Amino acid sequence: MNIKALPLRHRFWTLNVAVLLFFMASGVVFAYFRFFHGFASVTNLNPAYPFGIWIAFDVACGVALAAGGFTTAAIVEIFGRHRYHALVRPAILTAFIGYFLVGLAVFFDLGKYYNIWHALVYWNGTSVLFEVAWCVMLYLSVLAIENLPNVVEQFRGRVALPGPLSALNAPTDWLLGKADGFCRRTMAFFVIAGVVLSFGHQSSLGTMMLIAPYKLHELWYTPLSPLLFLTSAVSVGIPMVVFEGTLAAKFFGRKPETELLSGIAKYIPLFLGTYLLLRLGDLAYRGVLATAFDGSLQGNAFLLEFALFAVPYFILKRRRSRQNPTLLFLCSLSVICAVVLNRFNVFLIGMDMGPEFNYFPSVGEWAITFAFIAFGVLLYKIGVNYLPILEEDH
Amino acid sequence: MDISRRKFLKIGAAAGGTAACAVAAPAQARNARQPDPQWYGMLNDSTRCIGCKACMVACKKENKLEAESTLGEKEALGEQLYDAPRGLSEHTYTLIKMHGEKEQEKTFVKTQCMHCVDPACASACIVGALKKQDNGAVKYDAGMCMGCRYCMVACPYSVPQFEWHKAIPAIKKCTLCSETRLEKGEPTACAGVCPAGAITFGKRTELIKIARARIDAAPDVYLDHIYGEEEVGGTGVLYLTKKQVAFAALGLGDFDYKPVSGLTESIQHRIFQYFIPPIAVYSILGGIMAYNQRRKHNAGIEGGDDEY
Amino acid sequence: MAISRRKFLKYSAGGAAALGVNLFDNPLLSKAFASAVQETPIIWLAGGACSGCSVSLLNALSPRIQDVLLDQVIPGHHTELAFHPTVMAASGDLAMQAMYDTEEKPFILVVEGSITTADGGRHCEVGEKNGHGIPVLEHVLRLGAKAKAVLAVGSCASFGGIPAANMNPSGSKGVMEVFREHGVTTPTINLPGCAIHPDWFIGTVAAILLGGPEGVKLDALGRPEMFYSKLIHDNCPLRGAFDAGRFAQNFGDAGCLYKLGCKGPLAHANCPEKRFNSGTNWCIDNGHPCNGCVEPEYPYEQSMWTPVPVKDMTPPAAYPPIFTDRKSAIDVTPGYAALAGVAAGVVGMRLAGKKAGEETQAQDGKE
Repeated sequence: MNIKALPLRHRFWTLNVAVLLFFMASGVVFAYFRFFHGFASVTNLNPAYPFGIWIAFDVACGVALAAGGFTTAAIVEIFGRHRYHALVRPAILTAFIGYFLVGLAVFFDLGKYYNIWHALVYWNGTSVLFEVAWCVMLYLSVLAIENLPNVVEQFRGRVALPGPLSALNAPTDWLLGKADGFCRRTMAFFVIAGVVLSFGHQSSLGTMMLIAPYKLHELWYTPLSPLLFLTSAVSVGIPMVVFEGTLAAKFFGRKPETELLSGIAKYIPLFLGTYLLLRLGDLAYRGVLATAFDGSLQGNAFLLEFALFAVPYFILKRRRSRQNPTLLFLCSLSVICAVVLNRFNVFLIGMDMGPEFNYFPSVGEWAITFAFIAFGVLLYKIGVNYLPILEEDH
Repeated sequence: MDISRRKFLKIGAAAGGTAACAVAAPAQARNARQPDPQWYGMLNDSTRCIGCKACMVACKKENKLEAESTLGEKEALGEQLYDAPRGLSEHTYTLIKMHGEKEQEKTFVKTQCMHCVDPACASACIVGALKKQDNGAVKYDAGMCMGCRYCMVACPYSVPQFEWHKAIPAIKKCTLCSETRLEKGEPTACAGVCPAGAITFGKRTELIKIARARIDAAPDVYLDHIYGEEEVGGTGVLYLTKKQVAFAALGLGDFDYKPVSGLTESIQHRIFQYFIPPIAVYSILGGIMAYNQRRKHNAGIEGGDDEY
Repeated sequence: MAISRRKFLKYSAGGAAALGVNLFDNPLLSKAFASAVQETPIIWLAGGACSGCSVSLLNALSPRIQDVLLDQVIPGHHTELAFHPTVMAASGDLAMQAMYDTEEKPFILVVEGSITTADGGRHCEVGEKNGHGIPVLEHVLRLGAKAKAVLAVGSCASFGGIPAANMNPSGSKGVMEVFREHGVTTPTINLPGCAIHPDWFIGTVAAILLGGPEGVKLDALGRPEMFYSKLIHDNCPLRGAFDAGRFAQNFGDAGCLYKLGCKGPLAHANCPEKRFNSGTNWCIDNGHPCNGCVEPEYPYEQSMWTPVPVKDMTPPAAYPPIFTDRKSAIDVTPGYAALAGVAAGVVGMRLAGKKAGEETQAQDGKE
C-alpha cells in the first residue's frame, strides 16, 4: 500500500478565507460585549432558559459531530479495515479542531470562565457535567497526541524557525524526535483510550438532561438516553467523514475519494439501524409513541428528527445508493441534521421550562456560533495546507 | 501499528492499572438521603398570609438587594418608585405571589429557595459550589462557582438566578440567612418580621409536627397535605394551603417523592463504579485490535515504517 | 402644753388651709424659690433671614410664646430673650449693648437665617462699629465661641436654605459649616424647617436646659432625632394611594402628590403627627406636596414641583400572579437576513467557481 499524505500548499489568502475572517471578526465584536458587559448584552438567555444554542449546538452538537474521529480510528485501527487509511488523518484533525472549539465555546458560555480550572481540582463526582468535562479534557489531550505524528512527519529534520528563534532549531528537532518515539510506542494505547473516552462523554451528554424529569419531554426522557446519544454519535461519525471529505475535495480542487467513501459508508446502515431499533424500542416500551403525533412543537420536532434518521437508513442499505456520490452526500447531510436536531431537542426544544419565558437565539449568539464554525474551517484549511493530512491524488 | 500480543498485554496492563489508580471521586451510593434532625427550615402557611410583603422588604434589607420594578413607572413617571418583581431574580430572593385574581378570595404564596433535603443543584454542580450545610441551608459559594448554570436546569423549582447583566456573574438565591442570623441563633429575617404568623421558623422535624397539628385542628380550612414533606425527597421549606386551593395552583409542582438527582447518579454509578465498564470496554477493544493486527500480519500485509 | 412635732405640723397645715393661703403663690415663697430657678439668657441672632421662623414661634399656642418668654419653660428654668432684632423693644446702640452685656454671661445662641460669607460678609450686617456695619459672620463666630450651645433655627441657618439656592451670590452657608471652617467647636443643633414647627424649638430648648446640649440625640445631619427621625412618606395619609399607583395629575386632584413634586419620600420630620398651628393642618392635608424643607437639599435644584427619586423602595399594593407572561417577541429578521446572505454567498461562489474553472482549465485545480 503506497500511502503518502502531503501538505497541500495551496494559496492561502483566498476569497473563502476572507469570508471566514469576516465571520470571525463579527464574533470578536460580540465576544467583547459578552465578556465586558454580561450575557444580557449579547444573548437572549433568561432564568427559564439558562442553556441556549451555545450549549445545544456549540457544545452538544460539536461533541457529537466530532465523533468522526474516534469512529474512523476504530474502524481502521481497531477493527483493521486499513482500506480506509486515507480517511483517518483528516477525521482525527477534524475531531481535534471540533473538540478544541467545544472547549472554546465552554469558555465563552461559562459565567466565571476564569474558574474553569476548578473542575480539575474541586471534584463533585455526583455531577454528570463533571464527568463530561473530564472526559472531554482527557480526550482533547489524546487527540492532540494523535495529531502529533503529522507535525513530526512534516517538520522532523526540517525544522526552520524564523529569525532569532532559529537558535532553537536543534532542541526543537530533538523534541520532535522524542515525540516520534513516544508516539510509535504508545499510539495504540491512545487510540483505544480515545474510543473509551469518547464512549464516556458522548453518553454522559445524554445523561445530562435527565436531571430535569419535570422539564424534559417524555419523548426524550429515558434512562436509555446515554446509550441513544452514544449510538447516534457513532452513527454520525461516518456521515461526517463523507460530508467533510466531499466538501474538502470540492474546495481544494481535488478528486473526490468516491470509492473510499462509498466503501466506508457501508457501516452507516449498521450503526443507524442499531440506533433506530433502540430508539423505537424505547419509545414503544415506555408507551409514549403516541405523543409524537399530537401536533405540538415537540411532537413535530420528534417526527422530523426521526425522519431525518430513518430515510437515510433505508436509502443507504442499497449498495447502488452508496455508490452515488450526490445521494451519499445528501444522506450524510440528513443524518448530520438529524443528530443536530436531536441534540437541540434534548437541550432546548424538548425542554418545557414553564409558561413564563420563551427563548430564541439572538444575533449575538448566532454570530459567535458562526464565528466558531468559521474558525474551525480556517484551522482545518491551515492543517491540511501545512501538514501531511490529505493523501496524494493517485 | 504493528503490535504483538506481548506488547498488547503490556500496554493493556499499564492502561488498566493507570485507569484503576486514577482517583476520581467514587460514584456515591444512591440511597434516599435522610433529613438530619438538626436542620432548620420554614413553614409557609398560605392560609395565614395576608400579603403584606413585609418579608420581601426585610429580605431585601437583610441581603442589601436593590429594588426592581416591572410596573413601568420609570418610563411613565421618570423615576422608579416600587420594588415590584414578578419572579425570583438576582435582586429578589423571596417573593409574594397572588393566586385567585378573578376570585373573591385571594391566596398568597411565598416563593424562595426550598433548601431541599437532597438538593438537585448540589448534585449537579460540577465543582460543588452548592452544598447542604449542617444547619439545613443550601449554601452557594461564589468563589468556587464557574457559572455553568447547570444548577438552574437541575432545580425542579427553577430557583437559582443568574446575574445576566454583570460581566462577572454569580448565582443568587435565598441563603436562609445562614451566616447573618442562623449562626447567631436568630430566625430568618422574613420569619422574624411576619406579622401574621404565616412564616414559622424552626427545626424541620418540629415544623412537620406543627403543620400536622394545624391540619388536624382545622380540617375544614387546610388541604390535608404538607407540601415538601416528601416531594423531590423532601424540602426544607414546607407549605400549607387552603382546602380549595391546590398546591399546583400556587406554583408548587406536583412532583414525585424521589429525589431528582437519583436517576443521573444511578446511571453514573453504574457506568463508573470502580471504572469497571470503561476498563472492560478498553480491554475488549484492545483484544479486537490485537486480533486484527495478527490477522493482517499472518496474511503478509505489512505496514510501512512510518505507519502508526 | 407639750405638743409633738407631728401635731404641730398638722395644726399649721390645717390653719393655712382654713385661711386659704396658697403656699406656692405666696410672694415670699416665690422669691425664695426664685433664687433656685436657673436663668438662661438667649441671644437670637438673625442673619440672612426672613423672620419666618420667629413668626412661627410667636404663633405657638401650647405652650404660648408669652409662657415661654415670661414664665418657666420647664419647672426650675427660665429663659430670657435678651436680644431679638425683630421683637425686642430697644433698637440701635441700646439693642447692641444688650447683646454685648449678655454675651458675658452663660447664654444660648439661636441663629435664624443663613450666614452670608461672600464679599467679606457685607451682605448681612447687624449693628454698627466705626461707621460700618458689623457682618453677621463676625457676630456668629464671636458669639458661637462663647455660647453654651448654638441652635440653628430654620433651614437657612441649618444648611444655607433659600439664600443659598442656585448661584448663591451672597455666599450663604449654614452655621455648622461656618463653624467647621473656622474651628468653632461649640455644640450646635440644627433645626431645619421652613418655617420650623415651634414645638421643635421649644422642645429642643427644654431638652438643653434639662440635660445640656449633649443630652439631645442628633442624627447624621445634626437634627434632634426626637423630631426628625420619621420619614414623612412612611406616615403620610396618602401612602396607600402611592402604593396603589393613584397619583394626582393636577392640583386639586385626589391621590398621591408624588407626581406634583412631593418630597415626602426624602423628608424626615414629624409633620404628619404634629401638624402646624397647634395641630390644625399640614401641607399634605392642604393638598400641596411636601417641600422637603427639613432636608439639606432644600430648596432643591429643580423646581419645587419636580418629582425626586425614592430612596427605600417598597413593594406596591399590587401582586404578581403565580405565572407572569414574560415572553419576548421573537424577531426572525436576523435569521432571514442570514439565510439570504448564505444563499447569496452560495450563488456567488458557484458563479465565481464557474468562471475560475473556465480560466484555469489548463492548470491544476487551485483556487
